[in-house]
Amino acid sequence: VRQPLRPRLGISCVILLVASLVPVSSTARAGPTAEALFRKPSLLQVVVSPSGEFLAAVVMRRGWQHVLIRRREESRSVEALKRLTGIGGLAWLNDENLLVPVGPTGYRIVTVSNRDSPPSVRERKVHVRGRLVSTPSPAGEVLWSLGVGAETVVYRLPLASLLVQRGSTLVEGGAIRRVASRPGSVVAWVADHAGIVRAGLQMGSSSRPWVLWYRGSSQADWRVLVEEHEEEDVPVPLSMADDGRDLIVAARGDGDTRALHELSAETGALGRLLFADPDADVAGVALDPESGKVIGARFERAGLPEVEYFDSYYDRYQRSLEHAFPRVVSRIADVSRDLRYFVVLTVSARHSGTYYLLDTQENVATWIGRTMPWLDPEELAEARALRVTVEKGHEVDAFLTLPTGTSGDAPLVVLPHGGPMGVRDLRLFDPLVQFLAGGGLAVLQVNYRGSAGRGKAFLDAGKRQWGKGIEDDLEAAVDEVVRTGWVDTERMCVVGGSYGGYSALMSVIRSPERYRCAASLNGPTDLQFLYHSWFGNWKSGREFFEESIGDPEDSKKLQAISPAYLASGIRVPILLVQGTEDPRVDVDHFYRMQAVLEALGKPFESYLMRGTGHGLTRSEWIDYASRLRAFLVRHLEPR
Amino acid sequence: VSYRAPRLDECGGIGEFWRPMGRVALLVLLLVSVGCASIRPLQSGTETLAPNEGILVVHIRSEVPIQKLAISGITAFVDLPPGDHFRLLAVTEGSHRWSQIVIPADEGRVPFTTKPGDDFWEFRVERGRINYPGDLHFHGKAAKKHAEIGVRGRNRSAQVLQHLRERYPALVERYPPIWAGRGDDDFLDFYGRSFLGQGGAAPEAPR
Repeated sequence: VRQPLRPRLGISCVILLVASLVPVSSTARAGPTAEALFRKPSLLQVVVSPSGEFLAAVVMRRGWQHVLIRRREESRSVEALKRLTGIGGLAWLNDENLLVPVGPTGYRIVTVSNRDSPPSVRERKVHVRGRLVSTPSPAGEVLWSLGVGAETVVYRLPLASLLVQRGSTLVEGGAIRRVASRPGSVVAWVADHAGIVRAGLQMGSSSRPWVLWYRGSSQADWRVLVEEHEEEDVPVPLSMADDGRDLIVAARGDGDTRALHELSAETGALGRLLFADPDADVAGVALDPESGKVIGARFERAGLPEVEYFDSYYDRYQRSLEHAFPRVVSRIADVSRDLRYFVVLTVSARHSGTYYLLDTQENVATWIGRTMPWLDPEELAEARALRVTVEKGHEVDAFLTLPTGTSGDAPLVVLPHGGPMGVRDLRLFDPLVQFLAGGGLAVLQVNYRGSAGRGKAFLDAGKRQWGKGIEDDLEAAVDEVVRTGWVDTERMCVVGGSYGGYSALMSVIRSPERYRCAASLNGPTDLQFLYHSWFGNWKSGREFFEESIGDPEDSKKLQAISPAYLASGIRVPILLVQGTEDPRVDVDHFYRMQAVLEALGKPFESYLMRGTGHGLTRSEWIDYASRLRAFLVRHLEPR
Repeated sequence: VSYRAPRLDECGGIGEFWRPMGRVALLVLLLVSVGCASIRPLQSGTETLAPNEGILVVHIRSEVPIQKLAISGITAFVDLPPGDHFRLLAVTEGSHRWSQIVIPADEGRVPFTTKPGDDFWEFRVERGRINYPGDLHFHGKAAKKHAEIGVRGRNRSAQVLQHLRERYPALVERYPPIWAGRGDDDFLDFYGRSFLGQGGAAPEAPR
């Protein structure tokens, strides 16, 4: 039974007392090693069972992922299962059964006995394909969705049936009922409080629109509520509205940013606005664990994740947590059914993450563990946010990480992110940023035009701005840092991966006097070749290229924004790094740039990462970061 | 590396088809209507091209032996063992196609004939130039009576350029390299104009 609890004051003191038990160093030292920073977190997730009796966690030990379970009040945990990789987000199905995603499509169910101490656990494989939609009854029924032929079907079945059925379809009969189906691939289902599936979002393609299906009851016919061709314009159904008839969706309404709205079940039109931020897209929602209702909106501001709760109960606890943990972002990661126990995660640029269990009745926060306990936050650098006005009406967020103990004399490394479209940096723990800062380098990250999270106009502003407006934003952010006097403006380099690598090369071509060096990891250097070796191979890629980069047939314009064709303008040392197996940025980009730099007699260093793709493994990051920092330190020494 | 030069007078690739119907008559017809392609290997890198010839760079990486590889119906290579093969051919200018690949199986051979219009297999040869149509990577395996072979095309212009400059500097100097495969790629042409004294100006960076 849900208890009408009220947050009490004084919670912050208790939390601080507990938090202070975490060992910290009072003396700032040189930064951690690359091995320490790029090591996988040892604690990946903590969830509390609906009853609040058990905690389950994913931990990393000797390269293996383990699911551990313990009673909330006991210290001994038992291992439920272990895998080398692929354990995803844990979810309690009821008080005794934990759903464990394993790999992209598989599941295990761990059943916990509450009679033993420590609890005994039993792991079983879910043989049926598909995925969980919701758990409509605590008795152990689930709604399970899977593709059957050309449609997606939802079954309602007892939890135990998942463990005995096999194959790609469920055999109907008895307690297993087919309760909904729609053509194509349905990527989001919404069920009402009674567990009746009322809405489904059918995925679109370049030739078929996205369709939001709706029905008024289990007996009613399905009807099309919304049809949209552009994914950006699709209202994503999240839950039923309070009236039990309309839907709550995330959609762009009249505003530019993605907001939370009610959507009329009659007309498909957006109705009452629940939450909108004129400068931030809704990035997710918080759901009530019992009712499944949307109780809050998640978004990002100045590079930090934030949540705004509509429910006053959660809102007051969220505020208490923010007060208790002043220099970190605190987030309610999970909650028991009666809202007594909250799993709280705190993060910041210097803290990769710490989990606490908050007992709201006793106002006690118990420290559970840190995600990377071998890192001392005192050794890590803080990141500060800047809002940079590039031109009237166009502002970008930038984050400046200053190495500890510096006062205006640190050299600056500009680190543009990849993408460029729909990607963004956050002002949270970043191993590469911390590794560079640990070497005495200030790091500037910029969410330039086209970055995610700030609405459609900001996203669209990045289109066809490769080597142009995007780099204008970077330069404006560097100008802003120069004005602050926080860094040594005579010593600056620019480095990045993927688009960031391209941007680094273009930056030193555009502003040869500004930087001392540049480094590119898997950065495209020839955009005509980028089209023919990657984007041109499929229809949506061709459309994306034309819309976001340029006309693939206009070779002159593409060459005018391609570093390999512009290298004569480079006057500083370059570091080129490339994975030989990168399918996106083909290795020939590297060879082209190298050939031109060599022919021009430009100073450069280069090396190939054999067997490496577009992304790096942990050991590859360690190698790359170490070589990169050595290159930067060498070229950023005072003259 | 076992490599046998093709016959210089071989023409068409449709030979097996039209041989029963009278070679001479059809040969004349073909010569009149489309002209006859010729292919000959370049070994030393010092050879001179005929006025209507260009150099074709062939770079093949294969996990399987290739019994025969034909260009526009002309057998260009026979009995290529698995591995890396870098060859230069003098080829008549014009549009061409990798027309047939034959993989040996345990019992016989597995021919694969490409279709006209499939641009994956097509390339063009410009006279007086080094024409690079892209690498061909064959992967898979042959079985008793069939072969499961995948083919990937890879544009390795800069690497091929580097190899050409190291092994055939005289040819590179005389015959500017150019991309000859699917889609446009100006890099080789740009490189030749900018750094091999083959004319032209480099583009300027945007401001």
